[in-house]
Amino acid sequence: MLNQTRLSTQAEKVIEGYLNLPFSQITGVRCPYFNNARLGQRGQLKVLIGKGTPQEILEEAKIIAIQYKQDIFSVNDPEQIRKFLIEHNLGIDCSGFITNVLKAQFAAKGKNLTKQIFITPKRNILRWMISQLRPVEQMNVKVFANDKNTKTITDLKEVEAGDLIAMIDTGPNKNHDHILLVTETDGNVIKYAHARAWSSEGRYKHGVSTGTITINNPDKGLLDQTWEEKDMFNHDNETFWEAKDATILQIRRLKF
Amino acid sequence: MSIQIIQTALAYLLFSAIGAFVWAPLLTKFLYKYKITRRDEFDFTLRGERNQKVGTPIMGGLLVVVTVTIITVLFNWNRENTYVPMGVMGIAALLGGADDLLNIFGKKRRERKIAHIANLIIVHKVWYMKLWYIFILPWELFRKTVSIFGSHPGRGIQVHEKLIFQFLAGAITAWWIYFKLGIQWHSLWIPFDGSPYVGWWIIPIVIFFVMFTANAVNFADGLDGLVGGSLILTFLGLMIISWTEGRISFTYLNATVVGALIAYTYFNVKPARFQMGDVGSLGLGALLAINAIAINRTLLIPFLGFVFYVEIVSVIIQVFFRRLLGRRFFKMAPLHHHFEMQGWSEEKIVMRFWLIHGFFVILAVWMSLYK
Repeated sequence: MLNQTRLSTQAEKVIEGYLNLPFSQITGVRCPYFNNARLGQRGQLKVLIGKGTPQEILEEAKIIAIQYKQDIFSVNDPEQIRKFLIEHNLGIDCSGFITNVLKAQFAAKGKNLTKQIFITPKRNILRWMISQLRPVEQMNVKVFANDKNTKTITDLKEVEAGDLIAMIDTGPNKNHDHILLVTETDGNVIKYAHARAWSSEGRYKHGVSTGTITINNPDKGLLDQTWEEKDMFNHDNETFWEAKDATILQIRRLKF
Repeated sequence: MSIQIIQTALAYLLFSAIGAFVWAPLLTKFLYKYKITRRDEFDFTLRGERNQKVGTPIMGGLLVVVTVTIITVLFNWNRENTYVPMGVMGIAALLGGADDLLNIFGKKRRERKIAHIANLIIVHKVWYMKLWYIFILPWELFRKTVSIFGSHPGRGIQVHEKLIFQFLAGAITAWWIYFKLGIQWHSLWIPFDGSPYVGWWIIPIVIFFVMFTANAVNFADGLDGLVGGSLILTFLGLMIISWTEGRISFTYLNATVVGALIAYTYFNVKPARFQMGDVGSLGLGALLAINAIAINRTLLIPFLGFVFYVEIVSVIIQVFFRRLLGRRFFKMAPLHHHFEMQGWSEEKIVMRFWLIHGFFVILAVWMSLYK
């Protein structure tokens, strides 16, 4: 049996913000997934490279709507707004999501995550300076999976809210990483949240989502448990595929 | 400080205003005829209520530039005083005018990536093309660096090209100040602290103020009546300071500018009959700087052009935050757009900016009276 744990109210509020972006009179706008790897934008607003908070995404959406003369916020049409967000590169990537939630989690304890976390030093002095000025953008999956920042949890029974499930070198080509955040543990269920685009979701359906891992046999590994997300189980569940494809699949806990 | 000087200056002002009012309809007709108007597709600030600005003629600044040039050349032409200010305003206005026209009629500019050029240097089979790419690489690096901090209009004159022309305008002013106006202009007046000798340092100081002020006025030109009304106050202040300093030609020149600006602003208040365009904002920005420098009140320029300086500083802060910290400081820059995003009406922003600007111009005039 797992201990009953959950994230702080502030951190849960951030997740809720991503699941339901805080537009004043429009509900049900789930934050889309956006990864800057394809566009490779540098020196851009962090909200435009998949690292913004829900509030920043909302503010930027309003500014862009004004710039492009699209009066999309007068009609309560969440799907239309999501389409608008996706077409203007507004969304969150997996590590950006984790960073912003954990920042709130740490802030609740009076700590500053970005000041405590170890970011791999840059060889180029300019890059190093930028990494100091824009730490959130440097916090990728490998930074979270770094032994200086997190330790491995081997026993499934010890998993707690705030732990991370890191998938290194995953996908069919083993060329990307992914990370999930454990949001709640209760009985034999691990609840997680993450930002990801499933291939089956097409261009406009992806975004931040939640799922569960039901521990059937705590003595076995993560892949031997039941993964459920969007009413899809294990082999129909693309998050499970990613976990399965990962060269390294670990549960990790922040050291500080 | 003869009363006759101010009488004549006011006559210049009235004459200039009447002259500008008389030919303003001709200018409007000309701008409409040749479709020198604001286009929706090139301007993302045109939305909602501001969408009604589509089709408004730009280059209305010609009204001021041409009126001031004609009156000054005919009645106030003086090699010692008005020759160079007119020339610098002309260069800046020509640059702005070319930009205005190219923004409407020009083709989209092609941008080549630095990595692409570097690659061409390595792989190109023709040796003289290799040499050519090596030759243009520093220029492209300069262009790229500047474009990081500027906007990317896609057409028209690019930021790096503008900077070179503005540097030229600043350099001409500096040459004139340093070599032609005499040794007393090698000193820099400091409010309440006399005029210490700065020698050749006056050259970079002058270049900086000419370039910075021209761009500042250019950035501020975003709302109907904002720049016109503010410039009236600025040149009125300059007129008073020139008068108190006994610089007669400059008193008349500034009075002429105020007169032409009154006519311009009459047609520019919301809903604008025409807008200033870069031809006016860059030209008058450069003239503002040079007129203040020529009466040795260089350090008062940030007060005389307070709103313009606040606007350009808001852009600098915004670019700094965006590029280095990855977030916005203002909802949008320049500052007047920030207030628009906050829900202020255009009229409210313009009038409050006028009042604040007027306060600082009066402060500048007051400070200028202390030797």
